[in-house]
Amino acid sequence: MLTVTNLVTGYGADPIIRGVSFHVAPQSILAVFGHNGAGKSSVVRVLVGLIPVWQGQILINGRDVTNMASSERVRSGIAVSFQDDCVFPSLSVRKNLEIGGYVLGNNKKQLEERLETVIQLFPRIRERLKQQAYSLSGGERRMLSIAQAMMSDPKLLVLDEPSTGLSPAMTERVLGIITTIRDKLGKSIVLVEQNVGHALDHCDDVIVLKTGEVVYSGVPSSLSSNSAELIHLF
Amino acid sequence: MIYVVDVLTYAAIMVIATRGYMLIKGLGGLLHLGHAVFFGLGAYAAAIASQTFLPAGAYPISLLCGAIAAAAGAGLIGWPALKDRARYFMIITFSMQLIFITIVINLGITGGPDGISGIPKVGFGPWVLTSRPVNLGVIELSASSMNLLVALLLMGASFLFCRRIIESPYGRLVRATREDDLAVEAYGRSATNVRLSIFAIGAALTGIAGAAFAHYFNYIGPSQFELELVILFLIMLILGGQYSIVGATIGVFVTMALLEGLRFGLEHYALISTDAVAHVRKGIFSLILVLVLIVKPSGLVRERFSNYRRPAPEPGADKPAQAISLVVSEPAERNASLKPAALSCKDLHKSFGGLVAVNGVDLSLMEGKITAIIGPNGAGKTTVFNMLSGFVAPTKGEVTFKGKNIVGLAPPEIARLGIARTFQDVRIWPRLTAIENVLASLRDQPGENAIRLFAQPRVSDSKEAENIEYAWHLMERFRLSEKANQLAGELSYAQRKMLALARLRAYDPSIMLLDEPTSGVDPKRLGEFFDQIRGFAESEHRTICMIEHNMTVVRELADWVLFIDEGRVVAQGTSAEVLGNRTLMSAYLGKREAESV
Amino acid sequence: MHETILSILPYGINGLALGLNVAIVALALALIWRTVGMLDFGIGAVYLASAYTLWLAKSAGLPLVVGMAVAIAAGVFFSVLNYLVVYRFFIKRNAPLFVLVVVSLSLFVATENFVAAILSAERFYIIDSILLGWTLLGTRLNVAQIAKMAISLITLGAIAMFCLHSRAGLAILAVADNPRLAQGMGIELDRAYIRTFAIAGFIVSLAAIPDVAESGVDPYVAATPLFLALAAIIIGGLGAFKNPVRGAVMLGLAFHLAVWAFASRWQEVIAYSFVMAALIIRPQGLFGGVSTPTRP
Repeated sequence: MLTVTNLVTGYGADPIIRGVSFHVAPQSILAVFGHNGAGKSSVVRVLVGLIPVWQGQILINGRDVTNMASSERVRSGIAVSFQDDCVFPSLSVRKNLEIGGYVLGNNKKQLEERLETVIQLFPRIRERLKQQAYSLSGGERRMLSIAQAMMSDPKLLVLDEPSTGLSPAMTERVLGIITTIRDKLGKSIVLVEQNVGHALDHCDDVIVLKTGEVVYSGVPSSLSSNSAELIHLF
Repeated sequence: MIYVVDVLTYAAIMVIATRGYMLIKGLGGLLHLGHAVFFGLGAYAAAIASQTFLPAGAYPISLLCGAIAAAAGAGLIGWPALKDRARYFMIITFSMQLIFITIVINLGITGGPDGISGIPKVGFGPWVLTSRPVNLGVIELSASSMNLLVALLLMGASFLFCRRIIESPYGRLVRATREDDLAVEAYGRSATNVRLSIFAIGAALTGIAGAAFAHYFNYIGPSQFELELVILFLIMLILGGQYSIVGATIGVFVTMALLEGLRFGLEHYALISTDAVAHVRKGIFSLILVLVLIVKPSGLVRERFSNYRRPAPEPGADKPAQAISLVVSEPAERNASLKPAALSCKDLHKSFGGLVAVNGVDLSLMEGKITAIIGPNGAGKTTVFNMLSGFVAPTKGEVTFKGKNIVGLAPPEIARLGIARTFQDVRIWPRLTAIENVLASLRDQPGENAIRLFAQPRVSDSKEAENIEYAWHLMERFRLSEKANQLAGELSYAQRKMLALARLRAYDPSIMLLDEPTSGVDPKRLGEFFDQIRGFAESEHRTICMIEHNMTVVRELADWVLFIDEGRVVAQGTSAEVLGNRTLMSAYLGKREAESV
Repeated sequence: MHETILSILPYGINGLALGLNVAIVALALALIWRTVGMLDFGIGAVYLASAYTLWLAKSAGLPLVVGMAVAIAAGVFFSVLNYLVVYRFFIKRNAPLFVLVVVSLSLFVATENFVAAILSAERFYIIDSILLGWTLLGTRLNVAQIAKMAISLITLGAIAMFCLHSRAGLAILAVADNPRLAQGMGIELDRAYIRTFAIAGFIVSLAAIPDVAESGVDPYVAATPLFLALAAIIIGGLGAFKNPVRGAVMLGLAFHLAVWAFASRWQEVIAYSFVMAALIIRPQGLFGGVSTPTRP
């Protein structure tokens, strides 16, 4: 569903991503691991179109989105939830969700229907619709951010370290919802994570980034069975 | 001919004022929009002083009054405007511009809207400039030429003054503050004080120009210090190149030429009424500013960086760089096992609003040992560092250094005690050269203080020479000699990380907090980092604590490892113990036993 | 006591009228600051464009209402033009904040001077006759003042409605709050900027029109509202859009109450001292929360 080939990009003169290739199958979750400086956040940004591609190609369902501006990318079906600054703090929860549906256009009816669908995924949101986003707790903001990304009914969801700052219980809940999004709604998800532990239980494929290159690509079970090798990778 | 002389005199005076602007905006990086205020303060102070208490022939003292008035203005505006990280600095300096005009129009002592006329001409002691030519022995100068000579002398003096500032350790510190004030504070200096000082110095220089203007023109009024003057200063500064004193000079003369050309053209060739000419001129030169910003925003003259020469190598000896460490805080003690902790913290807590980042952390750092802190992202590791170094205040708990609780001290104070850190996002000063990054961090720099720089020039200069030699040794030790005179921002990522270590070492702290010192570094180059960090602990007996994600690094370097998760220390021990703990590592890197979901 | 209230009242009302009028300009500045990330002195040029268009329309014999419509159109046009022709060039090149601000300041000064050169620097009046007025509670209010207050209130309300209830308005709020995330939601920054400048131009002309209708127009008429708007931002802060509005009202009241308490000569100085005091006591603005403009 998403095919990235030989991607090279960076900031200024330094490349941060030095020839990365991976593939996300339809209705599956790809976990992207790697510690700080490995290029994980850059992968998120380049997928969404916030930084330009220097070399390589990005295909979504066969469509070449490599040179598309980010507003067009979102319209082609990519949605994002960032690691930090993940909501609009001074706006209400409802407004946050409405903005998530921006690419749906001016159709009020469609927006309301979409809102209802998304709230069903995140039932706790219903009580908080009028609350301003800055007053939500870290976990609630994370949920809102993912809900917001779901508003545009994307084909591909890109999640940047959704477990940051969350307790293990909360992390499990968030990852559970992500799994539901894959199963019940058939979406594909790129899950960028540093906390390998939880994510391994919830993904279908894994790649590990180290200084901008893919050093491991495979299935989660082979990764978790050998902790010693794991340590080496990181 | 007299007209040309007059224009040149005016230009010379403006050069001095523009250099003041250059110090504030180019060197100091302050987004200052009210430069006409300092010029005006200088002019009015000189005028008022000359008419009230100064005797005739007290020109230099009048200039001094101008400098003091302008510097006082800078202090008055600067102190509230620079607190809290200068958020509104632009708006405030612009507003001061308007407030100044209003005050000047309304006060009696400033002559109100009519201004002050009859300001005495230049005079030194018994000699006062009159309209009669002056006999200087060799030649005879007309009054206007005499004015020009005085202006040129002042201009020359201001050149020497500015050059001294720019090339001094103080100038380097000002530039470092411009690049990254947080890093400056991490190495023991107060960014606000540095900014305030350069603001005042630039203002004082401009005040002198204003005073000179008052005595030259003999009349000043509020209309001379309005918005158009702000635009004029901006053109002169930007056109010439805001990072260079030579640029400031060229900028002024080119602008003056343009203006005079414009005036001439409009008066003789354009079919505009005389009333309109002044307005058209002002309109056009405002647009010229936009044009300059479109075509050549960096100006005509680029920033020049000091090129530091490598000291000649000693004949014969090939000094191992490692041996040159001038200051080691504590003498080597072989049985260190019973020593108290160098730095420790107890029950450290931090909440941000509802989010608990650190939930009761105790740690003790031992001298000569390397402690590694590992753990998942968002577990609170950097927050702990921020609390140890004073960048964040703990919600609860204490941090003890040499028996004293250091919670509540500002980062520069904590740094000066000997606790220094690096940053996860490196934060070297990009527009300082590599060797300047190291130099700026060194502790003993008398030339860093503007007053000492001028009051004790020999002490400042000789110490600077020593420091430069020492900096070169450090550059060699950290294998950065080749890049010493290159801008730090142009170095590769790994080189910048190494430079950050060199900078930290230059500061010579007894406690080093390293925040992800090797993240993003090519694995092939890790060895160099291992050597340096190990050297800090083993040869120099410093206390090292590092946050790391790379287990290879942890295994290689750490004497003690703390595993922090959810804001608490979940496990600690030697690296073999912690990294060998299968359950722990599985939890971190593999399946987590479900305790509570 | 009764007398004191009666004597204060006219100043209070004038202060409120001034405050609300300035609030609009402050809001325009705040909108541009928070979305685009620059301090736009060009708003002063927009103010002038709108004001002089009104006068030109009136001189051409058009009825006042038509003149006002044309003046509003001119305000919108000029504001968007500033962005498309000048600012966008610099923004695309990632020009630093200082450069953008200096460019806008130059546009403002250039406009003032060219207007003075082409049309002359004298004050032109739009309404020749003495305005209808009423005496209410000892204060004399004329139509223009009432219109000013009404227009200001309606404008502020309308903007709030637009931003919160329309898709385009919401996009602007999003860009103001978190530009990177806004882009991640598919919002095009360029389009949002154009709309922001259009709105700013629209509301600035609604501040300019009643003011010059009442007091006439000359090339320097924009300087005071611009400065007061800046002062309102310093006093009120920029965390939420209502902050500079509150700051403006406080400033307007301070301005006129200063006249009531002291001589009118000093009113500006006193109001500005108020600004300085606010700055020293609470640099982030009395109502809290500030943002250094961050450009995406």
